[in-house]
Amino acid sequence: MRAQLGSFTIMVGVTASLLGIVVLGRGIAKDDERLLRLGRRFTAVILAAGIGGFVVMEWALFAHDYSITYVANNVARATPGLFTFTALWSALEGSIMLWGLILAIYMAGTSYAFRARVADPLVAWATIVQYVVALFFFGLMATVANPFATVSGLQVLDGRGPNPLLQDHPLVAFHPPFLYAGYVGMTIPFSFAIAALVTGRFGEGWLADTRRASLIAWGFLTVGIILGAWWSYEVLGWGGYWSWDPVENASLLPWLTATAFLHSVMVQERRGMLRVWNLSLIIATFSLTILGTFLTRSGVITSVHAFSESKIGPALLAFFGLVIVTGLGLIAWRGDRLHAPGRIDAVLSRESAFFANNLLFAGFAFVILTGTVFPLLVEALQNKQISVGSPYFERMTTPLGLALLFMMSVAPILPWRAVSGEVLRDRLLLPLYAAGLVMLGAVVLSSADVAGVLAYGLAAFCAAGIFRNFGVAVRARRSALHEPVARAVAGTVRGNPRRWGGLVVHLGVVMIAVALAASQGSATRRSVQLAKGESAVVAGNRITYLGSSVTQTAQKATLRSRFAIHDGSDSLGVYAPAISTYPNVTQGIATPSVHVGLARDIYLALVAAPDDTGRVTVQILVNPMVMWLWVGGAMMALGTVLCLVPQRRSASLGLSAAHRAAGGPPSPDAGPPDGDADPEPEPDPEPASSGAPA
Amino acid sequence: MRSKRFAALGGALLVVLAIVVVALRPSHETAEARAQRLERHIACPVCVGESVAESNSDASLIIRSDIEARIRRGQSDSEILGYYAKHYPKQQLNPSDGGIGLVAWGLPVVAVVLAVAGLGVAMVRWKRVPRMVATTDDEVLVQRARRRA
Amino acid sequence: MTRIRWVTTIVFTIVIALGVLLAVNLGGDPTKTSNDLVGKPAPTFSLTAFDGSKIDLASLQGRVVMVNFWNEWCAPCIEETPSLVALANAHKTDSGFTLVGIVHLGRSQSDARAYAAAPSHKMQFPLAFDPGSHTSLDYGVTGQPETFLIDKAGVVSQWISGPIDAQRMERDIERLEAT
Repeated sequence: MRAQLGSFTIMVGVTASLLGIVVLGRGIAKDDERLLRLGRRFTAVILAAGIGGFVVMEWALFAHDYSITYVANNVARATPGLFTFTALWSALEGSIMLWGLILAIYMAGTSYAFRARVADPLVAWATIVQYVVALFFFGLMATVANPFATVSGLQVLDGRGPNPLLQDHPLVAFHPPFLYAGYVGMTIPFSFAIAALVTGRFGEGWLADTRRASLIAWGFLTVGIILGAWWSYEVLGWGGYWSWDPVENASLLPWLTATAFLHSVMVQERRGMLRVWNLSLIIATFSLTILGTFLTRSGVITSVHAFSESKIGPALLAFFGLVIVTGLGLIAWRGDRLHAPGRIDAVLSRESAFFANNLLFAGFAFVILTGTVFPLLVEALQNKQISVGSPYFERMTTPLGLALLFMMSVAPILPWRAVSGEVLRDRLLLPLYAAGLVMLGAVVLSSADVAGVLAYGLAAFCAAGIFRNFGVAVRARRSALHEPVARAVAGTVRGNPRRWGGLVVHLGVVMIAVALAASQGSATRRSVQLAKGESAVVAGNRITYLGSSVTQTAQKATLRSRFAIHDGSDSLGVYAPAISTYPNVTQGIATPSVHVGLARDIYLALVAAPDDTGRVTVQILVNPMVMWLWVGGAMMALGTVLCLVPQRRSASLGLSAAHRAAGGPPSPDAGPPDGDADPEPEPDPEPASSGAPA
Repeated sequence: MRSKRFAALGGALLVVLAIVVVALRPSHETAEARAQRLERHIACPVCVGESVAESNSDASLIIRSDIEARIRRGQSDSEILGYYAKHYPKQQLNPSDGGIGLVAWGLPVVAVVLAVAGLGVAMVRWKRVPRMVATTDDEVLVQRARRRA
Repeated sequence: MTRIRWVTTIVFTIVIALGVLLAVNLGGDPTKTSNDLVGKPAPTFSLTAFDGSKIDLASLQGRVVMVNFWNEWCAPCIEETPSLVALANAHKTDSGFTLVGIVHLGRSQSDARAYAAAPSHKMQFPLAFDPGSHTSLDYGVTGQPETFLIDKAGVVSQWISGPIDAQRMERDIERLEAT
């Protein structure tokens, strides 16, 4: 019964997508506003179908409805509630369902946001593109990845339960949905880009229309990736957070192109340049989400994350081809008209910094794509199996990462159009000293190599630049409006949340860069065998084995070994890494236990249960600064949210009035209202815009 | 003005000094760190997506102790990696230095170099686009506005 | 053609190439395996057998040699032993064939257990320890059981991952002995 109900919701989704395409298509052809008005309503139907399917599947999972294959394969009676809930996205078919639901939410949200512009062909075309994407995913569910397929023959009495790794830690409830929300969200800017190409309105309109959607999707993708790293660190027990696994790479690829996009749109908004580039970037981002899904869900590449089923591979590859052909075809068709009138005034300017930034991001993505598909090339040409791992990716991406860090420090300091040498020197003086001192400190205090020292120095350079920038803006506001510090700070942020939000994201990236440099450079690892009461000393920390115990539940049997950690004479507490064994699974799942600290984590992972002589084997890692990865990730999320806060018109007007009062130049170059303003007015040959519209 | 220039120079000097010192100082990699670095080049034979450095499988433990033994015997990095490249070709995590491996190492470099060159050409072209030129009509408008003010 | 069309054409070609590459691999099974050692000279070894004697691959030149890596704690290896025992018994008087079992991933404890387990599985063919796992590393062994069939000239002619098929193996041995 549930299976029929579920299949019905999928059919509703397919039908609504089809009807939406037909009705909107006719509406555009006949220029009939009634049809356009009707056509957008199918997003609500698709949302209902998505939610309906989700609810039915959860119902089936909790009811242990083993007549449905998916339930039988992914939930056991002993599976705890949380992991029964998350079982919906623990395997291929369900994860496509989650994809469909998130897509439906984005579509309904977009449709609501644009309710006043129903008759706008740009919006209508974008909605059609979204319907096509929805048709594809609901179509997958209706055919090759049917989550409601029923068991033929005898029903099992108890299901198999999720993959042990997917029922061992609550992060499974957060990492996949965030990642999907990021992936799927890219559909919205993509659909508007295609619509812009079709309608020929590839000015700045579609960018402004999709700025929020792009940012939201990017924010989710960022958090999703960081959560994945956290999960890897907390659950997989190998002591690292990023293994350059094909699936991890697949999530990084669209992130890189989307990040490039978020930066390059500013150039188009400001200077009207890079039209083709922006369209290409967002098309690339969307197709990379599809390619990533293909790589990991089709069985072409072995990976920890890969699902075994491979039936949807050809469909995903075909869809990828469709996206590419459509996108590139439209660009080629519109080629002549796309040419943007643009010029740059100086090589040292914000816009050229963005060009460099985009080049680096694209290069970064290219490296990762090359490394990820290279094994396939070797397999096809030489029939040999190889894999490409961290040594390759680290060697290739370190220089790019450092260059990006440099651009991240310099770009926000550079004004648009041009900068005089004096201004540049003024703005760079403090960051330069910060970098120099931190680098000397790193040379003296740590054993970091050149790349490490450069990373620390650039991080200091960047952070100092941001703080100086903010300080100057707050001071200008205070002297103009005579506000107390706290109000001036709040007012400054509120005056241009997009700029300051962006810089908060940059601070998060700085933290992550430092954490990466420190944890890659000087982690200590030791594997020791300890009898009860014995201890080992690793990097100055004494780890004493206290004893082991076994707990048995219906879900799993867990062996826990307790260790006391002392730093000198200070007790840091007792930590209990564990090994769990699940029924029907031979290999045990090791759950590490981590003492988290500001400067370093002490990471314990059980390698082997007590042997005949009662000695356990435990792997002890001392990982510097890892915590700052998560703090940096949170910062990035916070900054993204800040960017989404609407600009306070009154506050910014006040500021620009204050500027004028303080003798600042007026802004003849009125950018878009939410433009990325330069808070430091200065006597440039051509005044850089000083913020709000005049 | 001059003092500011000196100040900037001083800052740059600090940075250069730090880079020179770190580049010139002898690397004091411990045997343990060296073993770990080498282990990261070899995939664990029995796991998915883990290197020997990360995995705790028996096979990885054996390879780890073999690498440590080779380091104690005074073998060089290339000797050790060469042995594993020969005997565990499928477990290599680095594309080979020659042959088809050059594609993986070279392609991104070529692409980035081409892109930089392309950007350079585009920048030159964009710089050549004339700045907006004021027409006589514009000049008249400005004159009129000035007179009024 | 305009510049934009040129660029899109180039990008398109690259993506198509990528797509073809992916499509070609789509049919493939990522878990299928091969071994580079096949067709190459077998790495030499000189090991101490369970009975204390020396087993030297060089001294076995001119014979067909089957090298089997196993361990006592490995269930598929134990499942495989009857086939191995049958093969060894069938060739007991055959001077053209030798079966050598090597303890894989042995450490002091597991070596001792393997030594103790051999008689109970009637493994009366030559069995050897591999201290430091040097031999299994030389052979690039990744799992157990793993079997290498070496021809009279000392070249690896076959590699089997997982339990062997005794009948097929018998035919292959006879074929190699005949050449």
